[in-house]
Amino acid sequence: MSAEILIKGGFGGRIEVRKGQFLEVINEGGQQICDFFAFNFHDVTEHLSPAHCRAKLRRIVFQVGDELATRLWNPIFEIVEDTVGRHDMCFPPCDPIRYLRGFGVADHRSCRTNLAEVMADYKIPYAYLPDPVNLFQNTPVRDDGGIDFGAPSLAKPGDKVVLRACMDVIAAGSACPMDLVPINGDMLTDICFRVHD
Amino acid sequence: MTEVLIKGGHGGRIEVRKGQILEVVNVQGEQICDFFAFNVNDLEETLSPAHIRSALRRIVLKVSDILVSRYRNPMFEILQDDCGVHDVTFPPCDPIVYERRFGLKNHRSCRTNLAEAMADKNLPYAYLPEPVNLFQNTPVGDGGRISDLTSAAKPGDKVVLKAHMDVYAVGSACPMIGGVNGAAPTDLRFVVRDA
Repeated sequence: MSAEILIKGGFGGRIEVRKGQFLEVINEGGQQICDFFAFNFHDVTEHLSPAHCRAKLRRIVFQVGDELATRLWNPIFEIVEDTVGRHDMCFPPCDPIRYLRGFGVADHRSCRTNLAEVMADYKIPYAYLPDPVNLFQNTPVRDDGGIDFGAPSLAKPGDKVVLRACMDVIAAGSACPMDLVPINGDMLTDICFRVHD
Repeated sequence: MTEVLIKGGHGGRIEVRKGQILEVVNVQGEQICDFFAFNVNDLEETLSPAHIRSALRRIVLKVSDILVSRYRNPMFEILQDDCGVHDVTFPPCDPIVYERRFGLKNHRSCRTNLAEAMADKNLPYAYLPEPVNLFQNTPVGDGGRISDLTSAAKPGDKVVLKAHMDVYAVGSACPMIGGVNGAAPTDLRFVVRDA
């Protein structure tokens, strides 16, 4: 069984992944960050948690073979394949405040509101939406603790991260709408979520 | 001036008005303080390690840094730091950690200490915020690896913060065993005074 959704650049999308199934997150046009969120299908207060991933892995970012953890320390995905090797588990999602204060732009799309939109039917309080794992985001942490911010994503067209679900999940992605600094390259492009057995 | 003594392994809370100074004092040394803060006028606005990392473009804290909330507003400014080694990457310890890692049931934890200290506010347990782990010695290096070391705080070391909004500050004198807090959890003191 397989299913897929195309997440348009700047927008969000969501897909269901059953335990044991694979989720491929594909960078269609290249250089596109995917703010990635996931929820336990049976209890959406249990979500993918970058803080718990860092603590469990004792690493600031994941590698192939790692298990990503939830807020309750349970495995939610295993990283099966990664054709890029540069991601982020430190940044919050962009939000309307970032666009307004940072750039004077009101009503810009954002990863946080994209998540709120795609999960709207679950009525999760906006204040308590989780932090993302920022797939394909190129903001490496240096050994001195500084974070290099501003370079475009290293993802090439067709690059992907393949995850195996360790529980039944709702996976949500936002093809990051940040187009005021070049972290997504010259233009926003699409992200594909593909689920298969 | 007001103050609270937070016993080792326990939690405590104090109110800090905008412009006031909060001192977080490591009484006996080597004690991690899981530090949380809430806007008094909107408890959903919390101190946020993720937004701090993003605003500072760093995962280490320095004097004169502004620590921000989930809504990217300044909550505290670091005026003084006797220790210099803190953490903004770890979640609080919770009952699951003690049960799965050590087989201990009903062990105190930073997360339940926070829940207790804020119990009168009826915050949803699932959505309690993440801490800034003052005095926690978990440096990142060697290609992103995180080490678990004993806190570098000496007796009397303190972090001095200036409040940029009216806040409830909550601290947990981390109950973690195994050396990160030295031989055993010890006390912390919160002191609030006017600037």
